[in-house]
Amino acid sequence: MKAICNREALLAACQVASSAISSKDVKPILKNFKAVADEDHCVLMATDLELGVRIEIAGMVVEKPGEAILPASKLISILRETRDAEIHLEADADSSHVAGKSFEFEMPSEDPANFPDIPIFSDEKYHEMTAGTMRAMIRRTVFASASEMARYTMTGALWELEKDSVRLVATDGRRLAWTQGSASEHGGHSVKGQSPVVPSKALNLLDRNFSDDQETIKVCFRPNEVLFKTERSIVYSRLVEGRFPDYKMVLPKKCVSHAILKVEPFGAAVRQAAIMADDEVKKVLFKFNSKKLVMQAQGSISGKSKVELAVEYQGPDVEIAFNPVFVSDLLKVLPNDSEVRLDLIDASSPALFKFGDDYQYLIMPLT
Amino acid sequence: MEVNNSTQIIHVDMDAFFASIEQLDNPSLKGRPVIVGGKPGGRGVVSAASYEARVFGVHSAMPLKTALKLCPRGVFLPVRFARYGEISKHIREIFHHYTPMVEPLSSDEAFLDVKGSEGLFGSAETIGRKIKEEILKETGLTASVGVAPNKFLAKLASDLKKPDGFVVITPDKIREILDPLPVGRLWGVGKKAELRLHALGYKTIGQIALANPKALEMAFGPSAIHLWELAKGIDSRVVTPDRLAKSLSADVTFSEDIEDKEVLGEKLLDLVEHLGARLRKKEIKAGVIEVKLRSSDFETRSVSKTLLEPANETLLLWAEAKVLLKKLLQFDLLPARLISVGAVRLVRPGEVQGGLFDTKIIQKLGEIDRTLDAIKAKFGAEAIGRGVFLTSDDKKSKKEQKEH
Repeated sequence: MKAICNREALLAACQVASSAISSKDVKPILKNFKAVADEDHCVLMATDLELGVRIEIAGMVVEKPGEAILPASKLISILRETRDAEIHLEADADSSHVAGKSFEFEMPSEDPANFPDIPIFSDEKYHEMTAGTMRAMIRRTVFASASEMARYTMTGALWELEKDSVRLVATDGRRLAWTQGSASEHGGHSVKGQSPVVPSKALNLLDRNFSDDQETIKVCFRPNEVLFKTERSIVYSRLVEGRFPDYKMVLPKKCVSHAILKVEPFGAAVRQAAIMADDEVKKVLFKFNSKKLVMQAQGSISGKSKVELAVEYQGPDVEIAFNPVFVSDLLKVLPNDSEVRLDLIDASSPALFKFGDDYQYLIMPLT
Repeated sequence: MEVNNSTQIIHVDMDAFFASIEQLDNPSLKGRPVIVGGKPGGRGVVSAASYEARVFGVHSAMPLKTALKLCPRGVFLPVRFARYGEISKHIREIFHHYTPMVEPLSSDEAFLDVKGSEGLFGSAETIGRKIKEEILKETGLTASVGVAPNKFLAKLASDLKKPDGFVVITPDKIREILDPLPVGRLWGVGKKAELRLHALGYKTIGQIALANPKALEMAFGPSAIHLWELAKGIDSRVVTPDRLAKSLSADVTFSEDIEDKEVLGEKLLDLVEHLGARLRKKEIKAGVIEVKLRSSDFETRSVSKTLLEPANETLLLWAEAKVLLKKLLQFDLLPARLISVGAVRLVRPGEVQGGLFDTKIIQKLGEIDRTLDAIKAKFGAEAIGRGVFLTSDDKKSKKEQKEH
């Protein structure tokens, strides 16, 4: 193949696709992108066999259609280290050339036929939603998912689909995020009978990949895999295997007391109190009474902190300890000028944060 | 390294603690050889022996059967940990009256650092005497107390005139006291090391203090420097109060080096059980578990693992510890002279992150541990064991043995 590319557009596509490049040594060819160019457009692909992406490169002038294998990290470095607006790309099965006004790179290549295939989105059964809805849902949940392989079944978000809505649930076993948003079903697409969990890695890649909030996103679940179609890309991912915990069991049905918290001042006070919390044992004690909230932390050697905040609180006085990081994680994804409601039962039961009707976040206290 | 010249460390060691409590609670036992540990000739070991019993050669950790042979007229009693714990707590309260810097070594032994308390209560010697008197007045038990510039010397001092001893080692007396003592009195020198030191011509601590540390290291190995420092009266370890303790560990130096991997595994299991019980008693959980192995030539290696969830359940600790031991056995460390297991990154009550989906299994393990701990507290450590420690591998090999 031979093409003239817009440097910025090519770099942007490479950066999105590089999320699917494995950091482990799976197969040498997977350290590369595959580019496929026909007369009027060019697609860049990357995969680690678990996650795959096809992304359209904008602003390409294809001089000779064809395929190329391009070393991912080298190509990104080359594109970063120049200011040239136009880049010339030429490749065959033996080598690839990247050139600008004052530089030229030649790199060994491989046979593009050896690159694993990434499925295309041809399904007629799918759910559709806006990128804005999906991005908000991803950002509200993925941070609560587990990262340790020992909690493999929780390393993603559970998807529950209805005719006109979709719910995402993520948990690491200590806290849980639940959110819903509107979506529309097409062609009778459903996940009845399965509880698909999409890996966090795939969801993070999607989040970086939307061009604007109005863009339409299609999602299609197949057995063991999921495909997302955005305007200029397709993201493929294998689903997390295993059983997601029964989250409905742990969502509290009622509460004993509740507080209304203003996001910005509450967040600032939590961060302030947490300054004295130990790195190893992160703990801040939250004392609620009818007039105020007092937050206290004590480090084993660092000292003590006490921070007060006027809050609206109804119910008996309660003292409950949380990992302050879990609280801050929630506040980071909420608008600063908004309010969040906190429902409490007692010092040892999970505490439920509610933001409107569409977002709930549950934290297990320290006991 | 500098020699700390201020005499500020106190070591308090209760005299034949368990046995003395039995004599206190039952005055008819006073003056008689009391052996705490279980039924005479039972399968357990001696937990404590009164001084009257020690005259017959009975000592702690000796099989009860042996104790019975040595002292057939001894009064054999079961272990009552709950009672000993009560008194131990009372004694600790006395310590804390003088300083927060208290490092308990066990239920009957602790180090105190009284630097900073001297303005309030008088010199370390005065505080040591007050503590000794208060313990006697409030519990009716005697303690041996050592006062010295560092931990090693303080512990040595409390042992010099035991029982009911009180010894102060001031910096100017260090040489006079240390020089004639046998090398076996150095911390960490067991029977085997003692023989090796003898073979190298070192019989007394004074001889080691005069040795060239480099030459000693060449002859004896890397731990020689530490021995030489101790012999010089140098010990830089600080008193770490329990509250600030970063780790908790249990170790055993074998009377004879161990070559057999399975025996080593059994020793480790005992330690894990012991460590687990200590953690549970303090309501502490371990975030990280560490296993250390020292070879007969003093090469030491340790490996550690972060637990998925902090734990103090014996079974969960053992599951990780045995994997760590397997890892250590890949190195050439046999025969081994010491094995230890440590709980690091401790999580205390009120600091335990709850789980949303906590499984019943872990709760069950906790219940089993609590039951076993209680039985042991009541009937002694040997009263009950764990069938579950026969892993599937063990079962298989036993079965195979049977079949063949």
